[in-house]
Amino acid sequence: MSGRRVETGGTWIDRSLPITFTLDGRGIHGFAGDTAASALLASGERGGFVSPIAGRPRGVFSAGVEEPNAFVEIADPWFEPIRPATMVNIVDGLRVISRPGVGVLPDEPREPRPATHLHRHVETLVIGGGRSGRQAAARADGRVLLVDEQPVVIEPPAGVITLADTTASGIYDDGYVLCYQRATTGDVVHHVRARRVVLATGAHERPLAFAGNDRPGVMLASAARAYLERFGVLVGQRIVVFSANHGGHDAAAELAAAGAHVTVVDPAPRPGKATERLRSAGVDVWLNAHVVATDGDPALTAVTVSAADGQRTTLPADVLAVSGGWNPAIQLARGLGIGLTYDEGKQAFVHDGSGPDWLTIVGRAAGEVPAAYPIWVVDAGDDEEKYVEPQRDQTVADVARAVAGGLTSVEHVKRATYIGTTVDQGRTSGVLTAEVVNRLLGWSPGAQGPSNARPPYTPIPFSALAGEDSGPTLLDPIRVTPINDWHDAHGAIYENVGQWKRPRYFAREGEDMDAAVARECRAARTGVGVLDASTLGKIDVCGPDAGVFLDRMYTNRMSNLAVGSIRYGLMLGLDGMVFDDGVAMRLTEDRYVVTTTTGGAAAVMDRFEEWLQTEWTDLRVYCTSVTEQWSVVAVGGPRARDVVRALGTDVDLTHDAFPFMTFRDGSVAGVPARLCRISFTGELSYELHVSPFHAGDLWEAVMAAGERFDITPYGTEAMHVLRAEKGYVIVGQDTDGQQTPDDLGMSWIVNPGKGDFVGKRSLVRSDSVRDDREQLVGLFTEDPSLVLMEGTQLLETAEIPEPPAHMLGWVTSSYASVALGRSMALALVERGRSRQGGTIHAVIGDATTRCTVVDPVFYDPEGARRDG
Amino acid sequence: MLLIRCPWCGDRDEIEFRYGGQAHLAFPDDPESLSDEEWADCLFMRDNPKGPWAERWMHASGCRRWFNAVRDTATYRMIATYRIGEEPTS
Amino acid sequence: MVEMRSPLDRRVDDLGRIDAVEVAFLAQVDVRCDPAEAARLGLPLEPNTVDGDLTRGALWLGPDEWLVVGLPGTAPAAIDELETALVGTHHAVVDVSANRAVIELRGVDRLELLASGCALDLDPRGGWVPGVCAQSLFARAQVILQEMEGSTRLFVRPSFAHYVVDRLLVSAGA
Repeated sequence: MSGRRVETGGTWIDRSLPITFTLDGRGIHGFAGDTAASALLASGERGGFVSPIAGRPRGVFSAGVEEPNAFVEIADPWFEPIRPATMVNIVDGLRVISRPGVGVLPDEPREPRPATHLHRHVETLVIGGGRSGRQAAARADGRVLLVDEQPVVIEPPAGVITLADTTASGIYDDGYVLCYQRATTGDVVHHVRARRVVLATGAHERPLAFAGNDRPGVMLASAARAYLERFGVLVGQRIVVFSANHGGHDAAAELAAAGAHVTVVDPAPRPGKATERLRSAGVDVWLNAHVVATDGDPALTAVTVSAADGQRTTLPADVLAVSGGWNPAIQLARGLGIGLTYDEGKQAFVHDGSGPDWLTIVGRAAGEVPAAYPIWVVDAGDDEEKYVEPQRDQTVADVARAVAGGLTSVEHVKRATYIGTTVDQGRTSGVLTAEVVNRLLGWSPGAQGPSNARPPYTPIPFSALAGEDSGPTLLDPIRVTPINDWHDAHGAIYENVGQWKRPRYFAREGEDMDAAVARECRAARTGVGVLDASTLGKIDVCGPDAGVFLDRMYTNRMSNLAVGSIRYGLMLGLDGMVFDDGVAMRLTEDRYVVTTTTGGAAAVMDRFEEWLQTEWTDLRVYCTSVTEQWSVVAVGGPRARDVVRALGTDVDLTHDAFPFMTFRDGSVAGVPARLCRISFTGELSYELHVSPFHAGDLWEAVMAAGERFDITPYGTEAMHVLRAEKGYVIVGQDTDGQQTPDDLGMSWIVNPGKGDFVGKRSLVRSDSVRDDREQLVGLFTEDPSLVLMEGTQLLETAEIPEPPAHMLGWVTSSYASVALGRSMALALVERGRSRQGGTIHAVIGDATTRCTVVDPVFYDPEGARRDG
Repeated sequence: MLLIRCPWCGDRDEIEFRYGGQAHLAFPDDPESLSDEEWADCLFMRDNPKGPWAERWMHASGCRRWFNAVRDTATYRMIATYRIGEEPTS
Repeated sequence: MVEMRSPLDRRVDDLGRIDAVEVAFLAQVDVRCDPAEAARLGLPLEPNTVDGDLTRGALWLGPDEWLVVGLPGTAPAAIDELETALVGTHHAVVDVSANRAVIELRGVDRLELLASGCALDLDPRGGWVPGVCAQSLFARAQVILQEMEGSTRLFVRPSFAHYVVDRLLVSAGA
């Protein structure tokens, strides 16, 4: 190739701003506005591009996103693994590396281009800033947005927001369009909701398949024209234009006018409108002629033309510009399921008018393209050398093999040959391949069209789609309680509970988790511990039918709960399986506050509202979420009462005045508080419910008041151990949505005498009363120091049988217990209760270990410790 | 990203809503009187037509109201939305 | 003596960088009652609108739910007043003054900043004018937005408040 920059012209470049960049280490000079491809061509070079599979030398083929050959990695000043060189605007410091159609991830992660999101609402979105697009935008009412994937939109219409370098990536339901804007100030992913979408995306020129058509120097005729018009680059000095439509002929005229020696090879037998004009401009036009071969070293040096009489002539050439016809670029609309119809005069697939009424297609995208002579493949020559998909090194012969193998659909041919599974998504290969298949099958042109198109229209980085919503703090919200500053300052190691960060344990100097948890558990049972329990869900349930409502939602009765009292409740799904648990506190005749698990808060609130709004519309109940209206500091242990007294409270803490499972409204440490005697550990425990505005300081007051009792803050891990010692289940840990109350040994909480409640009918389904259901039990391993992994599978036999082995169940919770002085586990085991005292086997790797099945209430089964 | 017309709040993105399955299912008055097969039918069996279908949605990140919708299950086109207890208007 | 701390009292500088402040300790009361009673009380019946002013306003949250917002310290009086007005009817009046943090954005670009995470039509031409409100999402947080003259209020659960500020900062490039 011997491209060069012409003296004047180039509507996209600024010749006063020279820029140098490197490609494969070699400096290339260009101007602001150049792409890497245009500057490369201007320098007379072809770049070191090769095909990904066969390593064949390739050159720049297009001037846009339909590029199948010239790919680069952008190494500086930002990193992108792969991009067509035709879509890389050169900037200072640009360093690119040629890549064979496949990117390479770097050894060390590189910062991606930063991107933000922006939601936009418009009445009209126009995609494509060419003439039809600009016209449509100018005529549209309301808020109008015009986007174009190229860096330049000439004469943007007034009153229209025009975004260049912005690719419409996909059109989705109801006019939702994702547009990816690349900007030096930071990329923006626009989420556009448009009442009307106008597709003015133009058409992609179609190449022809002939022997030697993948050689560097062979390119689309429209590309040669674009390089001249946009960048002032004449891609070659001796150009053969192989064109079956007047678009190619127009390109020939302009190239000749720019000073290239141009020859046109036209397969049409008769002269068209352009023929005379071209000939009088000094351009040689061969009619009824075909290109049958190319030659070069490896870049193009000669083209062999077969004339009407079969005579072959070899013409010297450094560029072979090809134009088979034009394919309307309607990939974005195809993603919406529109239909195509075949235009025989243009050999093009156009929109058949179907699809959503808010979508309009205009201009060349609507089929306003030149008529084309019906040719796709030149018969002469070896089919093994006629490329249809350069990026997969697939030829007409490869397509023929797929069809000979029995494939008739282009969708199947695509999967068999990988044609179209390319960075350019088959823009140059799709229609060509479909017509090759049609012809091989003896079907007429247009019998089937190119394989289906789906978003993204062009590759879009995951980092752009993530935008701001990535990284350690923004990928998902991190939720913390008002007491978190204290936890942070005192060695808290956190665990994720949904989106919440809860302290798992508090590590002191030299402690690992096991040591910290052991210390916390010991303190909670022998002295006093304090836990931040603020994350639990809380719902205010209010109305004359509040009790009736709660009776229907829980398995036990809440309507007879005394004012001032608290009751634990279990909630089932309609299928009878445990869904959530919590406690209900009765504030007044008509008002309760119920708690839920941390992770279940939203789900329980949703289901309350679902039943009230859709089924029980006659019940007079209102639910209000108050999860963050209260913070909860749980003080528990034999010295808990001492600590609360030392805090200062106006509540009478004596046992008779303040029994277990009741609450008192008053104050602690001078702030209003609801004190609740609820215990998840089995020890004497006061939950202090206070305003979150006071929570941080209250915690500090508790720590100060508890100092002389050696108060120990503890986390979720110790909490899990302590409750497990008491056999209390954690919904979602010891349950997985497949356990009835009876499975958990909790039949006592199902009130058979009350009316219907959610799940009641399902409890008597034959499946729910099977005698071989998995039941909650305790396990002691033979080795008391062995802590089983949660999830450990359990077997009847010590020998692991051949698969499929029948599993008895699995370990749901497992800890080292300070109180018991040994390890312990909870497990769901088939016929578990009937195995009490018996032996089952836990699978560890390739071996098993013996376990004794025991009662799941390991510690203080009489509940003697709860009053302190 | 469907655009769903909440009967109160107007058009909002699909992501603001929670899907609620088949609409107009009459919850049995007396589940105790149903056989296990009949009860399982109520619990687990749902229609699955191709074409317009009545379903429920809840505006989870908005007004938190449940409502009904008629949607074409083949094209995803939202044909109508209407309040619980009302009839679809189109 | 225990002092009151607001959820974003440590983020004054960060909020300043995006032309925003925390409006701390506002009285917030969730009112649920029949629309007929609401009409009698002067609560807005038109969805997603606000009645009232900075000293006392009511935001429509649902056909039978409103958020009454008032100056700090006025929640007990508001609750009394509402309970009295609704006596004998089925209703719920719940103090939720701590249940949401309130961020007030004041910059001229505030709506474009919010549009980095909110899919509502936040344009006057789309109906976003003073006196409207909406419950929606800002990135991954549920929020209530209220448009006022020259500012926008964002109500968000305190546990999501830091996340919302962090997300606004990144989107603003601040």
